[in-house]
Amino acid sequence: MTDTPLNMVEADQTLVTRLRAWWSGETANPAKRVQFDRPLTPWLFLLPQLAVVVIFFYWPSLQAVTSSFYLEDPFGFGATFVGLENYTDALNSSEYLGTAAFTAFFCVVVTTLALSIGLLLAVKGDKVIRGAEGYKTLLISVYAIAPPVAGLIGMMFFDMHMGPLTELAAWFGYDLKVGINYWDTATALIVIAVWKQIPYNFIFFLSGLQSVPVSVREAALIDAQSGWRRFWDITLPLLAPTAFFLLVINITYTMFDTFPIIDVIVKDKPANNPMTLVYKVYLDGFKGNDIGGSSAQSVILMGVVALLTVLQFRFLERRVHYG
Amino acid sequence: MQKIKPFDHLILILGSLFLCAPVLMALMSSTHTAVDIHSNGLSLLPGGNGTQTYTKVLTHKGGFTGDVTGLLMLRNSLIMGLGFAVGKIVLSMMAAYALVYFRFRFATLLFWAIFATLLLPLEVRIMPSYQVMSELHLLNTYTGLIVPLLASATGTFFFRQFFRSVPDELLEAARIDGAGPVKFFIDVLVPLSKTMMAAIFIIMFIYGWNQYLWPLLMTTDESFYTLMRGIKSILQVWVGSQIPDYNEAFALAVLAMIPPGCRGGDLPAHVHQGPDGKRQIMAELTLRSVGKTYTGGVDAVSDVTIDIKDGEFIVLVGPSGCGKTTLLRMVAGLETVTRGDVHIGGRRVNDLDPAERDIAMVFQNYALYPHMSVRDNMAYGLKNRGEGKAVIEERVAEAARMLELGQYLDRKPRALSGGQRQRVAMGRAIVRQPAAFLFDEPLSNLDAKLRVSMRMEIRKLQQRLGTTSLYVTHDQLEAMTLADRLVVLNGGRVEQIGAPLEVYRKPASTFVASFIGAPAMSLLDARIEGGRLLLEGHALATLGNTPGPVTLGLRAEDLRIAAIGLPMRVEYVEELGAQRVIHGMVGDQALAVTDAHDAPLGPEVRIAVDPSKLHLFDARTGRRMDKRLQQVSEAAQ
Repeated sequence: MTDTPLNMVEADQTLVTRLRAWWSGETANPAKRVQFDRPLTPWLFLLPQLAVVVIFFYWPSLQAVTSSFYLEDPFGFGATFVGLENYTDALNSSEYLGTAAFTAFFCVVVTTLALSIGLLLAVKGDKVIRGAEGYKTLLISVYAIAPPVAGLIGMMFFDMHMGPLTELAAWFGYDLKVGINYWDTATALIVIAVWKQIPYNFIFFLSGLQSVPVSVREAALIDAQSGWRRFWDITLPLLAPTAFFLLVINITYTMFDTFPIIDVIVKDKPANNPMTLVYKVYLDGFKGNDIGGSSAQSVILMGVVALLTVLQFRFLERRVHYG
Repeated sequence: MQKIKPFDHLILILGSLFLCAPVLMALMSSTHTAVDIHSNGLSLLPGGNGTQTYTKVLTHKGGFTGDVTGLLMLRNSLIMGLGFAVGKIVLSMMAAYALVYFRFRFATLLFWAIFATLLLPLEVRIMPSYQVMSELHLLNTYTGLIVPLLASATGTFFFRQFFRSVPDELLEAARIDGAGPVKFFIDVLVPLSKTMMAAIFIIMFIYGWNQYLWPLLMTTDESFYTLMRGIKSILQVWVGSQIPDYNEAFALAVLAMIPPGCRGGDLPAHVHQGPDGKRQIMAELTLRSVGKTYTGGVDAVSDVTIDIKDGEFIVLVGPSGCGKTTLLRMVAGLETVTRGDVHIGGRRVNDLDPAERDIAMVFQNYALYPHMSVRDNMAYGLKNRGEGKAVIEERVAEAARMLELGQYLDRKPRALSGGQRQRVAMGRAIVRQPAAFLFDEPLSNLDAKLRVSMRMEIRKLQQRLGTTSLYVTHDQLEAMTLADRLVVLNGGRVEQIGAPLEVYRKPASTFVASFIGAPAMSLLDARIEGGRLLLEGHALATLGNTPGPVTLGLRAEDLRIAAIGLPMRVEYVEELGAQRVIHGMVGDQALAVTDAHDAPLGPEVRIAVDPSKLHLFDARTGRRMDKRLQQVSEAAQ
């Protein structure tokens, strides 16, 4: 993610030369000093990817926009144009707004916890020498676990009859009712989502730490006595590109990849259970057969995600030093 | 060494437990019976049911997943992971190749069109995607399961980054070796990307294997169920059952966790073809008013005219940014020529591809193909030109003998030292028997000692082969020792062309004067007044030039310390062993003097100037002026 296409076009070019360059395929800073100059061959190489993108990305995205203006008959007998009604309905519904609020909360909490625990383990794992390989193996071993499997395992742990975590809570005098109590379910979702994501963050942070040159570490060791200072002044800034990359990945993860976890935990009984916006799109579209409303939600979500991505790159990436 | 506290271990142990214990419990519980789990809870120890649950899940029909067995789901998951990973690698490599290595209309637009997919994951458009899939009748097909997931730019992004990090010289070397776009892709880029492909394969396989939502939407037919889809079925069966089959669920979960350990196979490495039979062994090389203007209006090279005779060794020398490399690359065909003509062996080559120009090039970073042996590196250019096996073998053997590379022929470049790599790069040029050699700072990556010996080798080799050579360097010493003739470049223009000694003795401008020779020629502001050359008020010579300000050039070795002469304050002394260089000030102008003695120096010395050896330059333009010496003997006093 370090090399955004944004800096491909030099900022100081005038608009006209920029447009001309754009048309001819030239850029001020092309990827290569020398490029092949054939009109047809690149299209042949691009064709398969383009075809897939057009058919399975642009067509459905466009479809989402168009059907968001229609109210579709639940039994498939035609559709009525309703303008922006689907959007106003969604944005005025307290249920939708509640889901949006939970999504934001969920996003912040899971990202913060998964990143900080991952970083903590990576810093410690990078530091120890005895048993380092063992720890690494253990911490990485659960990396490739699928979200639905994580959900399934989590469900067992929070099971109301035999779940070890339910028993643990009961031992403290708390009656944990995952699937029934809203915040109990939310807690379970967060724990599972964080648990699933830690190994991923751990791997990236660890490799980021290990790519800090030995000479820099030694210089820091000479310049700063306190380990905390060294971490704060040297290690963390050098880790910033990794951290930024992981931030983007973690936000995407909590918004989209947690779908299976939610689906497993709430088991199609979302009555009084927390869920994310993506899950609601699915629920309203497939279970509620409200195609127009679901499409409107999709479009809103697309806008939010696109905005978030742009914001991340515009404001956060600037503060990141790339070595 | 940093101290390690027990606290660190505590954190790591807790972390490992937190991450691993649940998985271990799932694994162990799958060996218990459902009733056992229901009454005793999860366990960290193996149960008495052994692998029975697995056998049941894998082969039993009519269970929670209806008529589909776990084995079938396992197969479907594999198909999904493999299909997705392979499709992803093929599509994204091709697309990234087009985006990085080609200049074509709409390239930027297409770039954004593909990369926009990174903004929106599949999950936000599930509903319309489902509709599109059902319109295309792709529900319950493998195509429907796999292909729509390929509509994302992640792989393209990774490969694009990787291709950008591939050194430019590799493409340039390949083009000179006669490889077209398809060949370069198959012969060089694909083998180079093996590690990257393996990494992406694993990531993408896991992604495909782990898919949950998409199979959920796409498959209503149980024979297309994947393991992830099976988990959903289990949950649906559980709703309302008394004692859920936890053990079966865990067995399924364990199956779904099977670490994907797969490796991509090797792709075919070579495609043979190639016309082109004619060969001129030697040739002259002519540049006529050659110029280069980059888009944006920057002039890199302007109006350069050079005639290079057959077998001549020409060195282009100048500071960085003077356009010497650009000029060389224009001769090679790696840069387009904006103005003027380039002729090689009497042929105008402006519009010819690098491979058609009959030149060979040695690059600064050698540009060896890292995945090919020394032998293959040297042979590649010949193969592309359709040379016969016997000829290739003979030429490679000959070059190897000449360069003393015989014992390294089967090694990969990474197993060679810097000097050896350099020789392989030379060998690659020699076997081609081209009309001209082009060298782009070939020695600057070597250490000082090796540089001197390689310099000699290159010169000897060139004399033996008698091949016309164009050599670029910023090192004036290298230029002096190698060249038949030097071309000194400054700001894209030729300052002077001439034999090394001629350039040294008669620099055409202050730029050449200060660039060629070490220590650099001292340049001082002086005046001609009343027929005398005055420096800081001291008369140095009697001249017939027109009065006015001039720039006076003095070489350190042309000056000597004497009893009388120009007074100079000594600033510091550089000891070089055989001699020393005394740096000092005349008035407020710097001057350097070479001195072969080692007598102690006072704070001020007197310098004798031989008027026949001083250089005069126009104070305004910096061009050399003829001096009109008068009464030489008197002025020397």
